[in-house]
Amino acid sequence: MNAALLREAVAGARSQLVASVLTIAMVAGMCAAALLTTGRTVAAEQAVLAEIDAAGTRSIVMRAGTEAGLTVEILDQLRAVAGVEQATGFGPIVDARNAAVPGAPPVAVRPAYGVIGERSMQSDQHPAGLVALASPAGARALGLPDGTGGLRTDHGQDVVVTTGDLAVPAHLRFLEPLAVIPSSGAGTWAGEQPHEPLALLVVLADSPPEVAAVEAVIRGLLTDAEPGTVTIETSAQLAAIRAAIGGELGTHARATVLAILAIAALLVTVNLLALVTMRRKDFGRRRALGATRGLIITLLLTQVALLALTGAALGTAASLAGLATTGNPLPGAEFTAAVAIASILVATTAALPPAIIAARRAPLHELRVP
Amino acid sequence: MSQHGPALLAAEEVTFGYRRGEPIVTGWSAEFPAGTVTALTGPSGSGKSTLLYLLGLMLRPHAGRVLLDGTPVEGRTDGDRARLRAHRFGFVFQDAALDATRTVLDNVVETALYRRQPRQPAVAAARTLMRRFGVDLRATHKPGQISGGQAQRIALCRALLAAPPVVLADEPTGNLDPATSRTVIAALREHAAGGAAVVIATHDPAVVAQCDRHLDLGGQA
Repeated sequence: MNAALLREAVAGARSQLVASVLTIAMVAGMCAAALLTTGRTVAAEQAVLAEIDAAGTRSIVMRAGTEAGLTVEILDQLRAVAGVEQATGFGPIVDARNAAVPGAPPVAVRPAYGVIGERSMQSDQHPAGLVALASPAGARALGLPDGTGGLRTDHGQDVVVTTGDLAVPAHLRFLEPLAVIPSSGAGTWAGEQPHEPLALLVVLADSPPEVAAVEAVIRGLLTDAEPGTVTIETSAQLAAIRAAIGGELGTHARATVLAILAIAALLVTVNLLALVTMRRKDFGRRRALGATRGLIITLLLTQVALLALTGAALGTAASLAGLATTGNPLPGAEFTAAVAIASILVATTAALPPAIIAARRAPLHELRVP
Repeated sequence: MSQHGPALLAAEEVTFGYRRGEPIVTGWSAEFPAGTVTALTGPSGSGKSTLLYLLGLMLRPHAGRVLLDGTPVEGRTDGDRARLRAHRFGFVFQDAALDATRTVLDNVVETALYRRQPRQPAVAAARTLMRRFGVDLRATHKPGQISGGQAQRIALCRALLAAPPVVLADEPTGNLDPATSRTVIAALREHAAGGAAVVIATHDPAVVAQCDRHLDLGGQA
């Protein structure tokens, strides 16, 4: 951008304060209207979709009997499959009791492979036994108020819970209260012994639409399994509902935003047309002194773009502050930025017809003294 | 070629009217050599201002040619003619035609933007010119805060800022007292002496007397 042109555009905007303030107000209003109406809808949509996602729209749960032949080896195979965000395998349940409480009730502890949330399930050894991890609910069930302590399995194995605050992601919450013995090998999702059996496999797809494809891949990896020994549960129906809700809300939001942008564009055009009419002598003088039509158009568009930028910033900031202070959900950064950018582009585009009219002013008609 | 030297600006058989069939200027020819000040006189409505606008490429003649440096320019594109106005012409309009919303200094340097010249050297040149015409103390004023005579001197500063080879002035001394009027004409004469062609449309016999040439449009340009 030419610095002199920018300076002239700023000076021009300042010299027509009323029109400039009106333009800023229109663009700010456009942003505010979009964010306070559709923005709230979008935020609500995002909240609904998040709830649906929490219900496991992306997860595939596979249960296998001991004779099914499902082993931890499948985890490393899944690691290479496109569309798989993470996979967690669980071995057969082992009952364990709090070693410090005689007669404590048994709690299910599962050997775990792969990843739980952000945490790798790499096996570890404590001087007093195998390391185990428990979620807060799991620690409570085990009678470990501070989250750590010793367990003894019904097989007579000593286990030490070193962490009682394992974060359980939404798609694994059906396993709560959860206590696991991490069993993966170093640098692998599978264990040191790839033929260890798995009783439960939970795969998280990258997105709901990919669930069907990932499920097909998993079925392909299970060709050796005995028929009827493996059951696979997916949330394809939930994914379809999610897509339908997202699509419906998205269509409504787009229509509302487009209507707001169209009205604001019209207002900006009318405002600038009035300005151009009032300043026809100014544009005539500029043309007479050597300003090309292109320069006049560029000057006006730059001026409006600067005003629109100011208006978009003010409107966005005020709307977000309003939503936040009233406890409404905030639309995402992507939607907010899209509305602001669209407002600036629409206002600048709306300024084009008046700018062309200004540029076509015949110098003489404006300069002649009656 | 004129007796004063090669024509920097010329009109050949120019015809123009604001309404078709009602020409104000018919078959008018004239040459404006470098280094001369030409007075254009005639009664009101005789077409003095219209001729200035034709010579200044703001109007296209219906017939005939306008030549700049011997090259026909009347048929050039609108953009080309605008660029020629910015680079080759200086204009002083009848009512000064200043931007009332901007400072006097901004008005003087306005044309630098159209020539795509940097602002700072233009500001320095503008201050020199404004000192010369006694309006430098008004640099930060708006046109509404100065007198008509000062406005006309500021318009003159704007016209001379880039030392254009052609200056077209429409009643440049109309709002000035005799002393300031003499200063303005002296400045235009000095500019012409530097090799420019200066054309002044005027009613003032005192101005005509200070010009090198006099073209009287009479009842018909």
